Amino acid sequence: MDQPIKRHSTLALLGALCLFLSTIEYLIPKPLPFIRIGIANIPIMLSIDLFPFSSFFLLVMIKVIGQAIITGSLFSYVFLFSLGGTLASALGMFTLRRFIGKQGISFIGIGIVGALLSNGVQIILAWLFIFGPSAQFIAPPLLLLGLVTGLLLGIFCQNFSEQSRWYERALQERLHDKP
Amino acid sequence: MINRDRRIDLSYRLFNSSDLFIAGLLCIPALVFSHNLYFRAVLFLYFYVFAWVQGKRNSLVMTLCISASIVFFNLLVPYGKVLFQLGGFKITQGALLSGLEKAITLEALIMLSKTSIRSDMQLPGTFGSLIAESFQIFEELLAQKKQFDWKKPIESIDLVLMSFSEKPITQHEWQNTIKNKKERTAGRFLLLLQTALVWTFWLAFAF
Repeated sequence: MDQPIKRHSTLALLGALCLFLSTIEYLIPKPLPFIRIGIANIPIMLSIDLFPFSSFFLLVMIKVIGQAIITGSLFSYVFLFSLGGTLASALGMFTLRRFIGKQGISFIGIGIVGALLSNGVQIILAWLFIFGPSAQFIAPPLLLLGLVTGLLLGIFCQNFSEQSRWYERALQERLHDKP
Repeated sequence: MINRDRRIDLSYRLFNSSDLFIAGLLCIPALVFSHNLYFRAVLFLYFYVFAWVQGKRNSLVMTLCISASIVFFNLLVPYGKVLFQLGGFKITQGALLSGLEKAITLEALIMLSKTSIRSDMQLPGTFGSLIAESFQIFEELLAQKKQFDWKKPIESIDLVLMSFSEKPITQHEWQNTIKNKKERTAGRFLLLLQTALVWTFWLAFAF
């Protein structure tokens, strides 16, 4: 009997895209190890409307742990920054989108909120582990950077969700799977 | 000078990813809980060299820039004895030592991480297989990255997602490449020696 052809799961596929975009981001030089533009968050933002919370959370963990394995930062504070920032922004974005709904908040809105939450948590962690009270000096530029990158990622995701054939198909599959 | 490919090859022949992970995990307490700045600096240098031996990419300029920025931000809040003044900017002993300590610890942890984590590391359970599948697709994505048109990112990502979601899974070996038992034993001995030395120096001189 023929075995059914096994295809990649959407979750693993988006996880791989996170890792791929992390690698691209890793190649961009930055003055502080935890400063990121956040392009690896694009698959996470796109998955908010595609997955239930459990799968969404798994994707977030694939991104954080996979990224740490690729960059070799699993045993350092950098991992803590990545974990704290990603969890805060992912939970914030998911909650907002699910409670307010697609009509109430766009990808641009959740992108900005996610970036600010991520940077806010990272500033607190930087205060605790690296800079102490001097963290107040990095807070304004970091939050401003978060605002800009969140806006840009949000615009990208909004356009992607409107133009992508893959995204449209995945959304329909999700609607089809819903009881 | 041994070239990078040969160093990577040697590292894969000697060390198993799980052994590296455990050895790294065992060295963390010595690094984090030691209060001796010199000891931490020595560990940083050791792990920097070990990362190089394993063929990991490191930029000394980036390492220095990150450390300098951490020291600089710590100096912004002066405390302790004033060592000297640059214009109106006071360089204080307490702030300088605190900045150096944080910078060295952060860089040493990054180097320790680089030496202990390898992409062929296997995690257990369903999450482990999911992350392994992601890594498999990721490797294929990396191989195709030249086909990515960054001027048209939406179309490029869409195309990649479409092609991979329709592609059947190919069997992939997620196993360590160690075949020679002697080499593996030698690798384990080296990692054991590293852990023993780190702990001995920590407990004897830097606790």
